[in-house]
Amino acid sequence: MRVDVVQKLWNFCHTLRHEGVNYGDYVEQVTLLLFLKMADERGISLPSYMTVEEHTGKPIEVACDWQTLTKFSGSELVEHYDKVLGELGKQQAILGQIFAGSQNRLRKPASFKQFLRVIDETEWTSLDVDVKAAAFEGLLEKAAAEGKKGAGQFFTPRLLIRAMVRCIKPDPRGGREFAIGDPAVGTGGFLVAAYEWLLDETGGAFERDLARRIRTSTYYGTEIDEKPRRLALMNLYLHQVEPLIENGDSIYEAPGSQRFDVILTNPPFGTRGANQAPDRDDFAVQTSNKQLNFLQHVLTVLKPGGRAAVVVPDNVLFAQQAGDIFKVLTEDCDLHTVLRCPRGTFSPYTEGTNTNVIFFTKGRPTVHTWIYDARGNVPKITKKSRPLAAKHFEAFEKCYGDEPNGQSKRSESDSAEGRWRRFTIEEIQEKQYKLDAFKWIRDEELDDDEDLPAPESLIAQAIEELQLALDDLADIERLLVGDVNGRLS
Amino acid sequence: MTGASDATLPPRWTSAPIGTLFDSWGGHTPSKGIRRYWAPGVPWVSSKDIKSDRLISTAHQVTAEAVHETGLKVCPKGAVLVVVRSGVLAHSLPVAIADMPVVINQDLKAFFSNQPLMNEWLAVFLRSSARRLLSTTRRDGTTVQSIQHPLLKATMIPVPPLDVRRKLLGLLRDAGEKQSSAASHLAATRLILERFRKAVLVAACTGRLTADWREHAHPAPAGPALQRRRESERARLGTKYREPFVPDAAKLPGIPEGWTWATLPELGELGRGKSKHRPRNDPRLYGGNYPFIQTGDVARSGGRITDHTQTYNEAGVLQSRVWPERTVCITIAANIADSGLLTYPACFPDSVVGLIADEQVALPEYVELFVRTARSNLAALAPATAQANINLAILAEVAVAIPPIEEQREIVRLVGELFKAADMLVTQVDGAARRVDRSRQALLVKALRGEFLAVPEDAEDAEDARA
Repeated sequence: MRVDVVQKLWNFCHTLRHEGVNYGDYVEQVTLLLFLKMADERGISLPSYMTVEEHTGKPIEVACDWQTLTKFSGSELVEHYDKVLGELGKQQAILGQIFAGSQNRLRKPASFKQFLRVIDETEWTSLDVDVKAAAFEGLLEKAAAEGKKGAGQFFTPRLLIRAMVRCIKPDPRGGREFAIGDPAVGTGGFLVAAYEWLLDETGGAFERDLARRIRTSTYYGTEIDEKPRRLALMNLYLHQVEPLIENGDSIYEAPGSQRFDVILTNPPFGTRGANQAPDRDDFAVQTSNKQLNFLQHVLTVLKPGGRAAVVVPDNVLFAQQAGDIFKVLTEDCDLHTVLRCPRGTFSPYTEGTNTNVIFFTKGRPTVHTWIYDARGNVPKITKKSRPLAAKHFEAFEKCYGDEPNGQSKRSESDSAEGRWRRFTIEEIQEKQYKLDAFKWIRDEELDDDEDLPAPESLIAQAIEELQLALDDLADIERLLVGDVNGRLS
Repeated sequence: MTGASDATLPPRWTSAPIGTLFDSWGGHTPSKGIRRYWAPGVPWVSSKDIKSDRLISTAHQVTAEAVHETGLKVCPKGAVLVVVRSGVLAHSLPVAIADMPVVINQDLKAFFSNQPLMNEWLAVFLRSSARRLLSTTRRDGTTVQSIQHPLLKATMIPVPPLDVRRKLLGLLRDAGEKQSSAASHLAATRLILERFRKAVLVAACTGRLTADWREHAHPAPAGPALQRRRESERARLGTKYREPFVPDAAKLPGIPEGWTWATLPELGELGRGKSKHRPRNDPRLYGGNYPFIQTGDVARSGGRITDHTQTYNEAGVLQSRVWPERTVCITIAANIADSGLLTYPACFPDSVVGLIADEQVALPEYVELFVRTARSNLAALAPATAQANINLAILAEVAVAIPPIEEQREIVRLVGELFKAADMLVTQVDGAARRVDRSRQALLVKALRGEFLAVPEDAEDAEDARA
């Protein structure tokens, strides 16, 4: 059944592709129409807009609902839909949130009509939540994988997300105002996974008040870009959660007053949009590095005792100012676990970036850090021949243990392959807090031509290397120039 | 006289001959005939062992007996070892500090002071002054270069007070680490840029490079143009026409809409170079006015054949054929499918295959790009190439991804620009790497003169200046 639904939707995508509707746009349009269809199935009433009847000149009201939509055809269909989007975008609550700023990309009436028919054929609300959600996720995944740029940055591989969630156990029953947040929510993968995990753990049986709290005031997100935010809202809505996802800039805007018990996030990679250090009093270190700033933001918005799991690229573990940030992090938080992910984990969404996950709990300083190296001597993950699989993280999860703050009794022998090691804070201080220095697995994996990354990501890598070279040269300059008085500092 | 001129020494610095500040001595080779001398014991250093700034191991060791019986003096840990006899002195002066007690052979001298940080300072001085020392003290022996020990001992060395020594050595060490780190990042960048070129080629010939362009340009698909050519060939050749081999698209990688698969013979005139005369390398054919391209010229061309090392004369040309400019040349012997475009009319032997592209269907520049990517993917595209050579029949079945002709133009243009940008970047990275390298030496020289240090005014400042 699930295969059918995804396939049906995806097949139609190719038709629209010829009209210039790319995969990302397509998923967005599916979102909007699906929403209207399901509102119709549920009997949710939608507003109307005012217009003038053509022949008589009389003002009339036209409904925005699905039934009305399907009665139009030809160029009137397109015009009507434009107006529907405009009207719904002005509404309150989730309706407005989903439709605000949306644009109709379906300009050809014939294929639009066909599209409506495809969606109309299915009773979407009677489908299992699972099916719908999986279908939607399937589309998101395809869009991310197919898109040349942009789409990939909103997508974290689901297997990695689930491993992180299982480790950190985001359980809202832990407190009356338990809040789970993602300051770079993208398409909502972490929040969805957190909710699904809860359902798995509990069988979904909650008493009414708890159920309502969980559904409506637990899951928070911030997203700077309208499009993925819309998809995130839709994604969670399909899972029957009403998330609180705001459209905003987690780094450059002042943080709100909401604080979190659990943060799960994958800040966007790269340097796009990061030109200067943000004007934030709560940031101990002035830097323009986007990922480092996200870390500082997470530090601010975590409740004392709160825990976080953050995906960071290698660069964050050895960059110029990473040491400064990790110094603060390990003073204020227990950075108990680091997972070095296999090469190609983010392929094909973001090729070539090597990633890690850091786990920390706020409120007590770090005494030691456990590092799991899932990368050394592990063949690079590729889309077709060696896709990401649960096995890539199984051993890590076992080593992590059951206690979400990393406090389970751990031992280096828990990893038969010797991938699990403990380092004291003194050892970390010696390496100037650069966690990338702790590599002990002799790596014999070579990149082969077959898995050549996309040119864009090679350029990104080159930029990173050059940036590091520049950092080194700046250090040398600083050594030579010394302090203001001309003496060696 | 070598060494820093006293007039420019910063205050509190002194200057003295090396021989007055350091003990020094030499070594020799215990008799190789006596077996009990050559067994694990004390590391014994020869010039080949000095490979970096610190000596941590040696190829050979001699026993305590050898040391006592032959009168070798043991150099304490921390001693400065200098190579004074070796061919390597023609361009550099190897200096290392011993990490453990050692004995040396006759090609080295050891220097030692028990004053703190003096040995390290000497090593720095020797390295920074290498060129000067080598040119003034070297005596060219018959087979090896050497430096005279007495002259080395007489060389003046500027010496800062201990606190300044400590600071400068620390600074040099930190800067040295950063320089090495910068150099390795620059080297990594070069490697990435090489991979970038390959990745661009792959993206170009799979349609990814022009994905955005396609969305705006909507080019007319390639299929019909190919069809038209087939029909006109059929009409032209009549009974001689042979149906082209059609690649099985199901077995091939996905290509964008509007692209189509074809084989080389469908893209124009494909044929082997002609060499009718035997023996092929008969000297009577060569040395004339007709450029003769050989497989090596194609392999070295980097895509455009711009020179040649051999020419045909009239006799040579008569038994061969002159191919026009922009013929795509592909080698079928020695190397698998090296390719390049002729930039002037030329002949080539039958170890090279030429394609004169029909530009209604394919641009020679595009085909050449495709062959370059296909080179490493030949396994995926032409199943029969398990052998080291390919022949014309196999080449004729290689599936080539053909984009719409306007897209081919765009691909060629884009690839050209990206490669040009990458080349410029590589040049700049190389330049930066050279400058980082030179800065090592510059740093040493400045350190020796105390130039970038503001001099502490008095004793109190000297206290503050302690690291």
